[in-house]
Amino acid sequence: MTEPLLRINDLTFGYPGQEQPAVDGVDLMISEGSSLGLVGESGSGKSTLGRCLLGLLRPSGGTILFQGNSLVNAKRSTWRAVRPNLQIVFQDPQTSLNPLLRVETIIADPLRSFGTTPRREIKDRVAELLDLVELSPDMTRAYPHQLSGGQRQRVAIARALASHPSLVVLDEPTSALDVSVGAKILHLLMDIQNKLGTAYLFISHDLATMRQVTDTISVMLSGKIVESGPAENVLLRPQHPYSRALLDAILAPRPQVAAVPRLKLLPQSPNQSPPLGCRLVRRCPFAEERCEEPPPLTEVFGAQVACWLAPIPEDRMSALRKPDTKPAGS
Amino acid sequence: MVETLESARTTDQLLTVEDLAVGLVNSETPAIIERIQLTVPRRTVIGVLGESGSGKTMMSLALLGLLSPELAVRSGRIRFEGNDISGRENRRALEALRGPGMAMVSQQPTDCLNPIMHVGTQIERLLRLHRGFSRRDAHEEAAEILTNFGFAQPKAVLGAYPHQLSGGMAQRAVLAMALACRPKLLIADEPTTGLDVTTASEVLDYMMQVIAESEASALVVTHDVGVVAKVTDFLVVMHAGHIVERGPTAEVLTQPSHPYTQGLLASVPTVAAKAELIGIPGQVPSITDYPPGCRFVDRCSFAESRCSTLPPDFAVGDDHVSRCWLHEGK
Amino acid sequence: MSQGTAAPDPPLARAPTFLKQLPLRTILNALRHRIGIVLSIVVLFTLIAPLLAPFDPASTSSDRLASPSWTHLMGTDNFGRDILSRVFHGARQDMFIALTATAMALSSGTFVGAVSAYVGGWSDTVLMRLIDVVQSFPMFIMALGLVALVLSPGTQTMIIVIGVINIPIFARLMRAEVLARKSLPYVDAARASGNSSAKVLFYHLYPNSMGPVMAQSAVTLAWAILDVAALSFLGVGVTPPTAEWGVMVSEGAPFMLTGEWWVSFFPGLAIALAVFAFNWVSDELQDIVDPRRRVLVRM
Repeated sequence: MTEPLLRINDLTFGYPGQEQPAVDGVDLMISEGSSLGLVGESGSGKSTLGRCLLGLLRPSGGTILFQGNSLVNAKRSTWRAVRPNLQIVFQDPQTSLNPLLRVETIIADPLRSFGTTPRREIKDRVAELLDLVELSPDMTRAYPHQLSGGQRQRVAIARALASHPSLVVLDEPTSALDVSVGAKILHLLMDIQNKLGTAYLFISHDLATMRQVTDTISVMLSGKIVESGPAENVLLRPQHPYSRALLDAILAPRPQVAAVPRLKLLPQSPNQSPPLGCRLVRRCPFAEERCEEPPPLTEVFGAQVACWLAPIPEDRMSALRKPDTKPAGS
Repeated sequence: MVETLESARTTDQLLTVEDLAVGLVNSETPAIIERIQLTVPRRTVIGVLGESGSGKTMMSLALLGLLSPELAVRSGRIRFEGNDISGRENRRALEALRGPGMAMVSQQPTDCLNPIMHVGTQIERLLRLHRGFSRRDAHEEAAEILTNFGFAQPKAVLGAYPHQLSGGMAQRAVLAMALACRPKLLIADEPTTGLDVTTASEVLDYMMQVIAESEASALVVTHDVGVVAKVTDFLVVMHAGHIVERGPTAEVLTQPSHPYTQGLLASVPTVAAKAELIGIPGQVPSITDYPPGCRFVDRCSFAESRCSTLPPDFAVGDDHVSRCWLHEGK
Repeated sequence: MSQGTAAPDPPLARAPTFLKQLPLRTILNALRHRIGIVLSIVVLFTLIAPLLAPFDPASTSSDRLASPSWTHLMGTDNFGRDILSRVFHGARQDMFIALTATAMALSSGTFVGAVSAYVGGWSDTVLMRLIDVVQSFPMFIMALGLVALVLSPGTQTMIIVIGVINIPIFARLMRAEVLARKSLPYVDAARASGNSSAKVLFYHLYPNSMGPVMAQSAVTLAWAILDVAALSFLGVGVTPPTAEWGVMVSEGAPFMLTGEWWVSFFPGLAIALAVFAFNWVSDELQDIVDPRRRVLVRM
């Protein structure tokens, strides 16, 4: 088997002054041209992981192997070689573009810093990139505040793609945008992947968006991956109670008819010490005594699940209370 | 005679809005939102669905008379329980309604709470002001109200400062505060934006439960199709300051009639299927740039010459209307 | 109702009506119309003022404390010197000291502040403690100390003293602004785009953090003129009979009580006008630095 594009092993990062590491022994793998989705709620450590990967934060342990280069405590020269191949698109295009620079300068910034593109070709490359993200060429002289949210995000994508990266981290690229605009951005990202074969690490809290763009999914909870596997399996038949709860909490855009049992997490009480074993133990309706110990990885339906109970016992699922019907009207 | 019939019909409605238009003060520019027709029956939850720039927030502020000074109501009539509350001469009546009649929660829960005052103090003040509670009773009642919003230790929350609450807790506290005066109409502007999925559905559950118990109505203003699908009975879709479609939620979501509604619904990703998301071409026109007739014309694939004239309401179903020439004579 | 067909524009070509009117021309306009005028008046005046002066600023006459008249438009002082000529001559002196001192304070202050905030850690602590030390030093003591130990009284000393005591305010302002911005996504994006730390700081962060500094520089310029007066009074700065506005104001102050108001009034007016001009210039400069403000101004 050939070495994948990116392999992360046992990655750990803790913010100073926090008891529990924000990223706690995470393993991930992305192969050339594929997309991995990293799902989790706010505070799950998914964005921290992305920042560690880009060298914006310094992990305290573990390994990151990207195209055969080790990135943990890597030398400056390694980073210089790797950076062009490893780019990021941030969530909010309003703050991810320098407000004082014109679109052309923003997109040309990586080209100039990396020095891979000869100076006189930069202009052409910028035009090419604008075309790639479907922006009209007369936008080169515009400033970010003159663009709409969707246009700004396209500029950010063009900047990330400028240096022909083989992996782009997409940190919630559509969640600050309107739905109809977000849909177009997702569309564009998929087109680009088909055209250029760029691999994506797609970080999001939105499972429905994830479904559209990723091949494999890892679900993150309090710094740990609790379930990972093919997108279809994880999203349609989640086997970890946390993934199941995330899925069941989604508000479907159509009126719901089928009354399937829904997994609801127990309310969180803020003043408890973080659990040592399974991170879900205090919120999981199925929690048992053994859940206080770190759960083993089990393979269920092609997915890796970190749960003592996996797969979710269906009889206990159906024993949960039925979903609330709409309180008012209908 | 028409007048008396009209008023007789409107008294069993909690709120009626007729032909409301809001525009910039002292300006020749076209109204930003116009021709707003809306009726809120008692014990009904109405959804206002729209993307940014649709004017949905402006509309709710206009209902409460809380428009910013550069904006003014140009025309239209707003009645609450049959009483006219629009216009300068009815300002007193409107002020008396805020709190016990209508209450609003805005998008950022932390902005609604005074950061240097205990959460409890803020709720108790309202109770003493609007419901005439004594100091001690107000404290008990506040704890009771918080319990209804799923706080396990309400007394602890009463003694907390806003920054000590998590996002979901703060949103629940704000909703509790808004509903503390038992308003007949709650206007909730993006009640779940910025919350995690699991938290969001929890907040909605509590909100709907309390609204149902107090027999109130609600106007839920959101960009999230999932939210309207979950909680609303009736739906109003806005685009660029116009109501483009309104009807029973289930019907609008399953059989959208207006091209904008269709495009919007086709942009929403779902977990169930990996579908090609289309999005809507172009962007919401800016307020200085409104086309003269239908404001969706530049983004619409069905646009034709008559679209430069404002379309009237066309009935497309029972209580379901669409403002699009496509439905003429059908 | 117009019956024109509603031909939908291609969506993305439609948006940028603003593009036609913007950038370069706006800068030129701003330069031509506002800053250009103010700045060139100030500079020109400073350069040619001595030539315009009707009298020698230092020559005394028997016509003491004469009220404004056609011969002496601003009157004369207690030595019979023409105040108009002295105000004109003082302009060059004051502008030079204030501008140089502020430029020195601004450049070194913002540099220290920006580096301190961006690097953080112990270097931040050390640099900010140093700034504290400078700030806690009374200006007069520093001035006298400098003169006693190393420098001779004069323009140069004054520039150094006024420059140094104004470093802390710029350093603090810049530090606060950089701290507020250094974790913004565009800074991370700049790092991911391969910019060196120095480039991230000085190309991406520094210009974005300049707003409050620009505003402060006008205030500092104004105070610098007043400081010149105070230092000259101590004998550290400009030595008589060199014309200087601050000195003229303080020397004329006693005559206010006896009714000879013009002795301090006209140099005071000159200071006020200069401050006003500085304020205006700094405001305009901010508009030029920040494209968002530029558009607001145009609307």
